[in-house]
Amino acid sequence: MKTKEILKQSIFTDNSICRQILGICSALAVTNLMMNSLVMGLGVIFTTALSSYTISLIRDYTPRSVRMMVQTLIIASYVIIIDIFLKAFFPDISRSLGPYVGLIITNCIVMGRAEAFAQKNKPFDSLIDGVGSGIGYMLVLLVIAFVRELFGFGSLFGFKILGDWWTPWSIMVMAPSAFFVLGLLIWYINYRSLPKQA
Amino acid sequence: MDKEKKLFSETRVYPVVFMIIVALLFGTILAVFYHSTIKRVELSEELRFKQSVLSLFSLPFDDVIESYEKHIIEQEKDGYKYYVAYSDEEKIGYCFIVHGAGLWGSITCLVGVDPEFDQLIAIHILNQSETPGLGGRISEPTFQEQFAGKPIFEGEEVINYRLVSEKDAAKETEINQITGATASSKAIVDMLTDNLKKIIEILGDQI
Repeated sequence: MKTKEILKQSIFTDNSICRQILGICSALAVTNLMMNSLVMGLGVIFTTALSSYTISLIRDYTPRSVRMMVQTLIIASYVIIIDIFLKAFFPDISRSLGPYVGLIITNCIVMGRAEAFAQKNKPFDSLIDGVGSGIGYMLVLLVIAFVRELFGFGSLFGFKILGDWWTPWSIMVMAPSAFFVLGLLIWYINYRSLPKQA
Repeated sequence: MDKEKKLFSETRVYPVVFMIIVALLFGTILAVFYHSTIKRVELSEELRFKQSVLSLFSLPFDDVIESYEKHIIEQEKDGYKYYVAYSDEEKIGYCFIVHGAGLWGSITCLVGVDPEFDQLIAIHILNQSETPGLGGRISEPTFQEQFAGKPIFEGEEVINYRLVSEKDAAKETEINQITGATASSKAIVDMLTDNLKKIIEILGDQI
């Protein structure tokens, strides 16, 4: 498969959140601010890409019976490396991220890609697939966060967009609103893409 | 014999050996990485702490270490460590490290108090693990700035600020809570009351 195809497939046609319904928990939790979503997205891109690459590298030597343990171990190691790296070299970013870095470990997309793609594809292809899945994840997060931050705080990336006349919708700040926004988004995307498949 | 020709990768011990090797490998990488950066992390934590103390009293922090040595004196009483800030030989306030329980984890916070122990100068949250975007907003300046100039006593008692909605104007004894994060807002207010009581008990005669 060509690099371009893999990218297109992992970002759009097989989008982790909208088409595979993976990584929903974090999509609900962190999307009340654009900034949080962006940072979480970057973390996931990095982790998915590198862990997919590593898992693909050792895929021929990994016994099937322990492959999931190996995947978890590799993913957790990368997340801890990111955490330490940020703490040591970018303390400001590390602080603003807070608990997010740890949350990446629990993201189903990382392991989902390891199982579904990296286990049976070449290392470089797996790397590209990991980057693509991460980008796809980040795009959806940003769309949800756009709606939630705009209506919930009247701002985007922390900048005030809507004036004082705007009454913030408190529900948008809280997790339940993400269910509605995400639900509507998935519905719309599937509605648009299903007729083409038929 | 046929049995001996079996490849090692097909034996039952192979997965166990493989797992041990992978675990050791990644464990070693992490350990080396951790140890090579720990000094940097500690140094930046220390700088950050000193800068937070300085900014609490609006002291300059262009050169954090120099300014800290000039303005801040660390003191201890009965094993309780606290910080006294001076500006031009004049005492401008005390700084205490306080701890409290948040909704998810513990919260660590710096509290600046004026020399007469009448009001708060500022608070600065050092560590918290509240829900990002909800309780996590206790770290935002708008929430923390509310505490500047608030009284410490109400009558004879140490005050427990009442929480009001984000939209309402807060009186002197009130704090605007964060919408959707009542527990975290309450945690800060209670933490201040509990710790100020303790501090007054310990330092009673010195202030």
